[in-house]
Amino acid sequence: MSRLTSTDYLKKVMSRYYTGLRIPSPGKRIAWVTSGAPVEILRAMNIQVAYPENYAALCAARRQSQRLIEIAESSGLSGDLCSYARCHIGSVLSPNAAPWKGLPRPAVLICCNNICSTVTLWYEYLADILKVPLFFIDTPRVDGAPASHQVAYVKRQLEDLVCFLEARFGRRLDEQALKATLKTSAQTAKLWANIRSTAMKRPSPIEAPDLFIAMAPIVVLRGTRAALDFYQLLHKELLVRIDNGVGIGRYERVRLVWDNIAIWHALFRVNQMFAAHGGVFVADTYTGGWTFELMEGDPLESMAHAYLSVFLNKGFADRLADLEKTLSEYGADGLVMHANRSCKPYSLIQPELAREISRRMGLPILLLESDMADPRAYAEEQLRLRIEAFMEQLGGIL
Amino acid sequence: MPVEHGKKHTFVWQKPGSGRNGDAPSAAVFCGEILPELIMALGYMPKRLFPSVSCPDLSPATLPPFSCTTAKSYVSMLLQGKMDDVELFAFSDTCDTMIALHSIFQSRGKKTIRLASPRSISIAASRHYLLAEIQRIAAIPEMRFSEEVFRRAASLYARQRQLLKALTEFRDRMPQEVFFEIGRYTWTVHPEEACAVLEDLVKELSTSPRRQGFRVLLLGSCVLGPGLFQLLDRLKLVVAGDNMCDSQRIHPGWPAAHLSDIAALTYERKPCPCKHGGGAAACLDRLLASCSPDGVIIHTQKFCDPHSWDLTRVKQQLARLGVSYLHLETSGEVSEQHRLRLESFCELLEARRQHSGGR
Ligand code: SF4
Ligand code: SF4
Ligand code: SF4
Repeated sequence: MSRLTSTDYLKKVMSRYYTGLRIPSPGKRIAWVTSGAPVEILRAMNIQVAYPENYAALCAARRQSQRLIEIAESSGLSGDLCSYARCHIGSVLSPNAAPWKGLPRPAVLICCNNICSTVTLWYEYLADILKVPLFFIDTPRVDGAPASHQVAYVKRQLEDLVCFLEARFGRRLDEQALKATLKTSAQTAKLWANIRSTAMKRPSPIEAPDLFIAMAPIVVLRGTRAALDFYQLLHKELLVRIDNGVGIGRYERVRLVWDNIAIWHALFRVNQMFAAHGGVFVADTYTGGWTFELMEGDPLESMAHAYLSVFLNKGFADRLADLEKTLSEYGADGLVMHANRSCKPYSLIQPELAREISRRMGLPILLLESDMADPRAYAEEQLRLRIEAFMEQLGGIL
Repeated sequence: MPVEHGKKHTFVWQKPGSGRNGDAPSAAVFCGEILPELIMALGYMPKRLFPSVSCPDLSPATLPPFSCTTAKSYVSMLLQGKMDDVELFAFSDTCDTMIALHSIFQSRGKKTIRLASPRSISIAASRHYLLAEIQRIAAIPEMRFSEEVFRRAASLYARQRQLLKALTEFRDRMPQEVFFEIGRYTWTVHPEEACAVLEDLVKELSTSPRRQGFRVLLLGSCVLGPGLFQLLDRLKLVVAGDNMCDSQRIHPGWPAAHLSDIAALTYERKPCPCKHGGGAAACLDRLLASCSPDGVIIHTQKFCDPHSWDLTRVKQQLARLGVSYLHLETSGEVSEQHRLRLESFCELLEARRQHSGGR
């Protein structure tokens, strides 16, 4: 399998980001934010942002999540809750057991519930144990385009967020700085969408595990030059691969789409089980969550619109339409759904989505139960047997 | 005897056409957050849908195994055709599971409405938003919203809530199993019918003596059947109050005159863990002060995220206050193991009582 050289640059970008967070400097303020928070406002005010979800995913990818999860559970948290939350809380309770001794202490917490209800309770818990102020942004669920009263409600909260941050940090939000950050964010999101679309080509120049790794900057560095630079580099590299008719470096017999968050602690092992049968994941639904568009015009209104429209905040019809579109645009031969015990908003409607997709498209679908960050919910042999049976079934069809 | 009176009205899913609002098609309401007066004003007979143990689990092909039993029960009822006579399913965006359930019912071709309710209730903007959302629902073209029906319904349900409140005051005079059945019954029939039953009961109970036993406060997610309450009765645990999804987490009993009152009423409910900024800790303090329980029983359902999160906070608060508590996690119904734990809890309460010289 040929390696993407831009991943070297990615490593640098990410390590600079995490090191930068930890270097103390006068006046430096850190906010812990959820992955769907309107971070451009914070960036424009020069507030550093750290992402507990991303940190937990990193711990899992480094196979260091289980210990932290167990620490959280021994403090009384239920083992059925989101493993990102359990892992991160473990790192807060026992920094010495955590990679880099956990995330640096925040001055504020910013929680936006456009991804799930879990973050509400997770951040309330953090606010309680850390005794740090929490700003909460409520984004009601949307069906189709957000309604005007929903946009107005969120915009109002963004205005309040600005006031909260200004009062807290004694800094003013410079509208030009916000506009510039939004512009960079929009460019980065567009570029990320283009990168994902390159996989529509045959052979695909990139596969889902690469996308899962490459998504980190769009999550944690959205709105920065560093993220934009990395994606420009990656995009260029993929275009070269396409021009040369080079794929990912192995035979692409079956094109697959992955639904749900990756199994971080076994990302490449699981991928290999499909690859052994000629399977290539040309797309996934998770990394597509950061391809939203920011409209021209009033910055806060545009942000309200964009942050209401993230895919986990959308209704069933939208989720189904998005999935159907992805499957057909990427020429998928099959769909693999990770029934992720941790993530209820993602997983609970998967069987219903599968039923509809199978009825409409007749595609073979595999549902695999596991967990994104808790290795105890990962039964490799069971998965292998199911994957083999599925790939054989696909082999018979193709 | 109130016991007998209560027993007459065991919970059954009412068929449309039965009861006094026979002409109106049925609407199932999933969470107490949605006010039945709104549903009635839309031209339906609202009936609160409670999860039940009476239906076999048919959910495995429709829901992952790590779903709460409430969701499994609703889906099973749907697949078993138990809700074929229901015309409208009214959801509100509460927990992620409820949101998923809405998707499933919608995908199965059921007519649904979804109140995209605010999940932050500490900010003024959320009240304006909720009102706009309620107005959106009232304006859905195929709904036949009527101001007049709304006002009539609001006054009937306000009466029902007042009577329920009065009944709750006498809760320690009746078996808990009966209270559980009555609670469910009243939200599945027409409010006139419910009020008639409640008035009788309140009158009878006003002269009944208090039951003896340890007084407990119940918190948490809903149960699927009367098992927990039967067990409490057997162990002579007297429920002095609750804040449970399927019981006393209801709106206060004053009649709404306008749609804007619905928004206001919603904000006066006991807070639940699905909402941010509801003042849950203060509410628990108030409950403890008003019920003076000997102990607290916290019920959570397996795979219920909101209550599982809340559990940590509640336990810490109770520990700080020195209140004895027992946490029971169930899959909706109690088992032998729960019985044993409840018995030990009773022993603990007894030991505490003796230690403090009896009370
Ligand atoms: S529940 Fe799902 S969306 Fe929410 S934090 Fe966990 S993984 Fe993310
Ligand atoms: S926790 Fe609250 S919003 Fe959720 S189902 Fe229970 S009462 Fe309804
Ligand atoms: S509040 Fe808990 S028990 Fe009720 S539907 Fe949601 S997850 Fe299930």
